[in-house]
Amino acid sequence: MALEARNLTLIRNGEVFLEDISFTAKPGITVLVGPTLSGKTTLMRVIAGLIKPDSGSVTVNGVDVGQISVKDRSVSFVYQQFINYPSLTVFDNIASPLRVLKPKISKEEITERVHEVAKMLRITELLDRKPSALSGGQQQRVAIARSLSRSSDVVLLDEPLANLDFKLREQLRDELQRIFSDASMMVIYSTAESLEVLDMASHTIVMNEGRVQQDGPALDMYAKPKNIPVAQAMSDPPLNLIRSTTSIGGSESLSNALKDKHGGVFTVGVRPHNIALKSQGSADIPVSGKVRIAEYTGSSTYLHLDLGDSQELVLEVEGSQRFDIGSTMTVYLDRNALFGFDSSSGNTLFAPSGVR
Amino acid sequence: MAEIRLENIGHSYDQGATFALNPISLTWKDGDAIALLGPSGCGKTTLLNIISGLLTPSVGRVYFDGVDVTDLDTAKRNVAQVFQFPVLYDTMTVRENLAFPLKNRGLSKDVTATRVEEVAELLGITKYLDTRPLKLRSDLQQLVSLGRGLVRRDVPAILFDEPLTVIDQNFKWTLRGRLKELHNLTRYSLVYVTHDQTEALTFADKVVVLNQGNVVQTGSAADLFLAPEDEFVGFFIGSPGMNFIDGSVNNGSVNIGSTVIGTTSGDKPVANGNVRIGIRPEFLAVSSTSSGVNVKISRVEHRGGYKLVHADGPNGNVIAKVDSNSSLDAGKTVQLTFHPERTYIYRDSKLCGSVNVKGA
Amino acid sequence: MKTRNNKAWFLVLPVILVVAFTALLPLMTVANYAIQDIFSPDNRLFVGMKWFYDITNDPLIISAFQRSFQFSIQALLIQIPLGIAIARIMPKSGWKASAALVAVSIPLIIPFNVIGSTWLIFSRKDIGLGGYLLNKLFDFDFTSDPKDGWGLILAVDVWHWTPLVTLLVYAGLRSIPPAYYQAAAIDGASPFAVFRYVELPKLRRVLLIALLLRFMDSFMIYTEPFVITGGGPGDATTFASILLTNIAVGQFDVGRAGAYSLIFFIIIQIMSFLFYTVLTLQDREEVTKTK
Repeated sequence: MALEARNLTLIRNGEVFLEDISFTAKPGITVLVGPTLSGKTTLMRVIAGLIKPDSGSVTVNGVDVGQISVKDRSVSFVYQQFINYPSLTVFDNIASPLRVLKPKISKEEITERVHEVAKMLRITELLDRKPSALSGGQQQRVAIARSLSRSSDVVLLDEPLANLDFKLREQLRDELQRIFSDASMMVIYSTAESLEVLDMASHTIVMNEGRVQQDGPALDMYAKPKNIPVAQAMSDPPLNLIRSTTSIGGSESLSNALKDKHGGVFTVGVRPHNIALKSQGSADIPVSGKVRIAEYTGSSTYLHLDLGDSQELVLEVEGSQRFDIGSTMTVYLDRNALFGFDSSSGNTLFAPSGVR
Repeated sequence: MAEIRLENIGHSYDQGATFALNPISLTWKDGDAIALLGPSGCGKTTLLNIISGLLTPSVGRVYFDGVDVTDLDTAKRNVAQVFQFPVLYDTMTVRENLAFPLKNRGLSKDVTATRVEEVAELLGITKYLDTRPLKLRSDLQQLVSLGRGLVRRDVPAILFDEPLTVIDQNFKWTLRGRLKELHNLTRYSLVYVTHDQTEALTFADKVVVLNQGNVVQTGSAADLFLAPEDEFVGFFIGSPGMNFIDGSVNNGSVNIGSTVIGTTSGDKPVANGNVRIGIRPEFLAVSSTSSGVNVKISRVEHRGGYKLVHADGPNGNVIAKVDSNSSLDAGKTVQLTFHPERTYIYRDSKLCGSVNVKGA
Repeated sequence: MKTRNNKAWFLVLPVILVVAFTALLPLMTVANYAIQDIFSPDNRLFVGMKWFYDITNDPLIISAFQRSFQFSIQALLIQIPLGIAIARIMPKSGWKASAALVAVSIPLIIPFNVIGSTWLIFSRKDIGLGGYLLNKLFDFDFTSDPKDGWGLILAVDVWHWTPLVTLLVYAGLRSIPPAYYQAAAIDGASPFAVFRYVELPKLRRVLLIALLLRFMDSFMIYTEPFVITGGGPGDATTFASILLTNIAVGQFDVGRAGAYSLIFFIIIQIMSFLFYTVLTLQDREEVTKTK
């Protein structure tokens, strides 16, 4: 069982929506991650058959879906905007895909299946209500239930949690993971949030500007991103990026300290939690800057340092610590947690060993 | 900038049948950055609209610097507001957008030009002054929207209604940082509505947590994180939220199941009976000692900089935050280790004491 | 990707046949006539481009087109602002909004010739309520005074079609998020500034549709002048379409009428294209954004 996309390309009015996209999705969850306008929604619409690509194909279990009319494809789609039939009850909404099946299935079977799916999504008490009487989270559960009732081969979820509250997103993410890890479905889930990717911990495809940037396990992409866009798509808070010419005291620069990893001038990347206030040992690289702001989340503090020359460093320290705005301080970069990127292409030159 | 005082403010959208916002009194000092945090439907937008003047409250009065503004409409209150999406005048350049509020108030061309340049400098958008705003990225557009509020010096408060909604993940951080920096520099009174706890906590000096029309707790990020007074605050703040484990108190001894984890401590004695032990994942450790509360690990999530260990506790899932190089695996049985200062006792959802952890 | 959905084409076939029968075939026929001089069905002479040359030099036809242009422009100058003004004062919600919408739509659902006949009688200076009153104010007689005839047809068109502009603009206004009005209030904008900087820009697309529709329709106006003034007094209201029918049906000069039709058709195409290009210029400019 697999979904294969081969060389999908879509260009409209000179704008590249998809460029030579190829990947394989196995049963389970495949996550598409990337910023807005990276092509995620377009790709999902092509897979669903709602848009025809200029070139390339999508095959599901060996069958080219381009040959099958949209209504005969075994695809379900869940949208960001919780789309449900407003005039039908929740029960009828979930039953609707079952009622158009050929060959027809009995009323009892339909009822049984609806209850099964409603139980999975925990909306059994809402079955006789109309979508307008439900909260956002509940409406989205109904939309998801509807997508599952037919047991399609492919389930597409386009940023399904984006319009929901922070906490609701956390809860649903957990549930969705459990519901969609069913081995018989190929689920393609798109998101713009790196946290969701790591949570789902599955096959991940990073997209940027219409192209597949990297394809593999989420953790691999976190630890060994191919380039800056991939690194940033997987980092929340964002990866710090500073020039290797940044001075580290005296006449030394980062380039000197990292000579053994890569020669010349490049861009250094470091995650906020890999910078410390106190030296941890000889593997540290000191950098000085002026305190700009400190942000408190209760569990940690994000300290923003102005390094001069329009460069900034953000570090994450535990707990709530006070800092004098405007004072100069030295912080320590963990040398074993540094990334090196080519300054013009953004490609990764070196990455930390292990997950940092 | 002004002191904002809300006296018994409450609002009902259906003539008193239900209250979207139950009567509440709040006072915010001049120059405070306040966040109104809560899930959808908690009343935070209602409260913001009452402050801005878009809504007249069913009960209560609003005062800016001691002056009753409750019956004044939005324009007369002179507040500035940033909306969920950038609200811009498409046909004008950024410069003209920023000058608009001053032009309408009849300020001279010179004064207007100077103010516009100042604000653009403050926001870091000087190089975009002669561009049409539609050509800018969404976070820059929001800055222009904000700029129109900043050009007027006599603004009592700047109100933000979930302003990062349409901004991309990475730019949320830069925009938030910029807003915080602006606040430090200008000390405007700011009121910020959001459902995202990270936004609220990083932005504000004081966070007002709302749920179902009521203020549940007000405090700094540290207060809300370290000592939640209500289970809702424990749950809502922190990602993931606080763990609540069923337990009991028996003559000063705190138990989970048959295991004693410590004794009660706090200003007031805790009565015997069933309670819930509240402890945040950041303060819950798991170890392989032989005694303690045993749980089986159901899942280990790698979050990059750390790992989340999910275990089957006595009444459901329990989560502990551990180092990213921890070697724990699903299926293993481990013991919960409670933080000596951050383990709390909750009864009827309210904080009633803390636990003096045994062996700590 | 090949799609095997050829069955869908068969559903379109009836439409194709109907359009072919009612539009394409007549158009082909007209084009055929346009290059011939037809005295009777079996007496035809191929004349090539003679008619086109004749028409572009025929003073009667040229002045008919001029009249149509002038009429269109005057009609637009009245209807668009008036339509916008009415849309702005209509209630925004509740039963009053529904009532207003119904009231405003009434002129749109009356058949054209009924409108013509009604106004015809209404405007007569002897038995018409309007005509009689107007005549008392000043010397009103649309049957003899060319200016009165022109004014009357203009008034009928305005009465008939302003509601279309109103409905389109009303819908456009409802789609503006309240945040824009709130921001404008906060910025201290005057009602005119709100109209100019918030409403008009957001109504651009709707106004384009209104402009296109109204230009085409008013340029081709036929039924009302035909019923009310018959093209008179004299040739004061002999618009392009009236003259065309006179030539084709009255004089049965089918060849010349055919050429006339084609020229008419081309003028409208060009005008529509110009309107569209100019008004969507801004949309095309906005495509590129900074990153």
